Amino acid sequence: MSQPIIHWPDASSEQVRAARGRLEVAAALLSQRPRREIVGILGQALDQIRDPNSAWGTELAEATVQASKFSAQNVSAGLDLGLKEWRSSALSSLVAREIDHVEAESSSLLSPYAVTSVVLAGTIPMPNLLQSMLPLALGSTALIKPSSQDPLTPLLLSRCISEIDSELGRCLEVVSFASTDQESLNSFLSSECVVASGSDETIQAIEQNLSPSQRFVGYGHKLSVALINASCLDDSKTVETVSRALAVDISLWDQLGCLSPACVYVLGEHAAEARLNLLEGLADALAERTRACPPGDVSDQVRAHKKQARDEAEMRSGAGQDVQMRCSENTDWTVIAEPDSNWRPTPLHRFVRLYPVRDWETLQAALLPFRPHLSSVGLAGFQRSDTEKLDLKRRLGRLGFSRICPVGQLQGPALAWPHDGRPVLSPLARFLHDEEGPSH
Amino acid sequence: MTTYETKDRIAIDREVLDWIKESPWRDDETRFNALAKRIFHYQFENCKPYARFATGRDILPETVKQWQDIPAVPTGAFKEMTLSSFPKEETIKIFQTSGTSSQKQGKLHLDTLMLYEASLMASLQHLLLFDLKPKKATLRILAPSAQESPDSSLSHMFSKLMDEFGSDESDFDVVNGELKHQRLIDYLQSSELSSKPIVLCGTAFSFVHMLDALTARNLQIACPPGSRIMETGGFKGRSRELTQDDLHQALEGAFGIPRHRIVNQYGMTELGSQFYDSVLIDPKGPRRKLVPPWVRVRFIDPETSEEVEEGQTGITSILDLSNTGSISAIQTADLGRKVHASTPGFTILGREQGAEERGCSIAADEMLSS
Repeated sequence: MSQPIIHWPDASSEQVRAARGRLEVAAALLSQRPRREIVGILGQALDQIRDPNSAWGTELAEATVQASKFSAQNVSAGLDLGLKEWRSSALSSLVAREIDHVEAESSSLLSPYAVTSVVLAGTIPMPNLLQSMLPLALGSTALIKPSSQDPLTPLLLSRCISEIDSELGRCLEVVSFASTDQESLNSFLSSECVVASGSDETIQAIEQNLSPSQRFVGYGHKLSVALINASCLDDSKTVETVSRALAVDISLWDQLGCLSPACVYVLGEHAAEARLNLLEGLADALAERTRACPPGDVSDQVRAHKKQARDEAEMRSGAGQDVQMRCSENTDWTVIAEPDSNWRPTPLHRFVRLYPVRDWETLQAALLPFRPHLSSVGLAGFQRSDTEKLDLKRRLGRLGFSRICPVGQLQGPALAWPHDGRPVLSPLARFLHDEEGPSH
Repeated sequence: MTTYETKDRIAIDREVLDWIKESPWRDDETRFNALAKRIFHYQFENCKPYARFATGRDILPETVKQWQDIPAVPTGAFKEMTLSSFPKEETIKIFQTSGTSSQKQGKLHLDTLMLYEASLMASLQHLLLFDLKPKKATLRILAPSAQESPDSSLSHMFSKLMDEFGSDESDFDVVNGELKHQRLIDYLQSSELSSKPIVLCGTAFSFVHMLDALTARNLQIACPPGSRIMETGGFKGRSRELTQDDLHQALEGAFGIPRHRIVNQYGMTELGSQFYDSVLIDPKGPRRKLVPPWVRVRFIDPETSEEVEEGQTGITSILDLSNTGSISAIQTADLGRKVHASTPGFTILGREQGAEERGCSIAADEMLSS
């Protein structure tokens, strides 16, 4: 006779409390270990996970395909590019720059929080992998609430670390509970340091549950774009190269990440004509890319939105507006060359609009409503002197971007990229400052 | 090819009006088909953007064999251009879709309110007020009047309803952008022992504000027997959001009006006709939106642009013969599917995620929250 299964009403909150208790014990042991040793172990784990031929790399890819709606080819390509530069050496350099250097130069000592709570979001594994790892690199244990769309990445990291060093593996706990479970949430958020990713509403809701004395680091949703110099689109070879690179950026993760280009701006006096060259090139490139790297499943609602947006473009074209569209027969991909820089809604999922902008002032005006939300900009056709490059960086910085890269690389940020323009580790770190100086 | 001119439009309007005014409602596919083709021909000749759109799809008046061949215009297009089938100077009314100042607003241009008002009143009378006598029903409207909100098609509808149906005790309970909670509560409490039914109408978020007001006062109202609620629109982040099921449950508890007397209306600025839940006239059947005889609703597969099979989900596409002065065939961003019953209907599966906010709720809610 089978035993009855008893579900205790407070099972989730009890699990969170138990996990916190284990972490507090583990934190005492963690504080005894040299940082270099911890970072070395994390680096080993990272090297294993980023290797697509390792058991961990294979498991990450398979788990992502299973948990998400992305195609296997898309996940594979996305992980390859996303983790390409995330080597153990990159992690060591990051720690050296943001922590070791600060300690050495300012008579400060890293004073880790016992437990850092981390709320993860989204479907894309890389940010979830990094966010799960960072508290450990700082000597803090990590209490992780995984994203419902990517439940496995932190668990996989935990197991991978445990295999290398079981004691460090015990410093990372993954707990799941419903967002409406206030008791579990309260227990989860009672750490001295809380990190959260998600929508602005989620970030605000979490912050409201915290006291002012708690350290809080929030990462809201962001928007990335591509910016193409119109003058480079006169040359058909360049159009082909730029289009292929853009097709990679647009197709990876089906345009759903914060680093996916939501749209493309073509900048220059002849932008209106140049965007049409790009329209043709990008249509060809997306068609080719889609054959090799098909999109994932999309809901009826997304399909409906895509059809609505296509029909609306067709209608505007019929009304005499200079709107041109190239698209697949089904709803897999769509490129629309817009007549002006007025933002129009995009359903994403490989649906991109090309906006002509005559000059920087027009671009600035076009981006103004999104300024607080801008993340990365993928560039093409701006190869100039060092002075001009610096000028370009300054312009883009003033527009609100926190990262620039060549098109085709938007989905492959460096591990040490200052996310949202902030240092990676420092916001999570607590330092003890010694005012007597190094000789004390 | 025949050229359609104003006199043809007058004739078409007359025929559509006659149909709208018939009682009981009578479905007639042949009649619908003939009128739909004539209206398409008229609109094709008098609305250039629409003609180019149709021509781009190789659809011409002479190639249209049945109403399903008529190309539907996406609702988003009403934000981008004027879609009217009459000279601009003949415009007498422009209704605007809700939206914030940073959003483009869709506009419906009208050269006459005759069909528009006849259609809205016919549906209200048949599906919401069929058992009530004009000027005897108490209407309490949780929305601003047309005088206060002249661009709102919803306010226009409520004002028209108030003029034709409302008793002396009827009133608008949103005044100067403010929902007058206490005044309405006082009235409802004073009517608890009355035998005169009350019709409460408003946007869904207005009802949420009202529910909050009742909860704050720890009050429950017992509306007189025969009372009913008509709610419409979504929440659009303007108040706390409830599913329709939860909203109806809360309304039942707060106002003492059973759920089979709570009717959701599905409508949009771009259309002259609206759709009401079947629950009042068919309380035992499945809740579904009923379609007046001068309207057709079908569901389109976004991949193939073909009609989906019976019972499958698709994009809601509507052909409304009362839209003679604008465009009759409209494609919404809403997913829906047909519902089989003694009188067939349809259900809307919720406003599409990621679609632009639209609907009647925002403008009024902005006023409420300001």
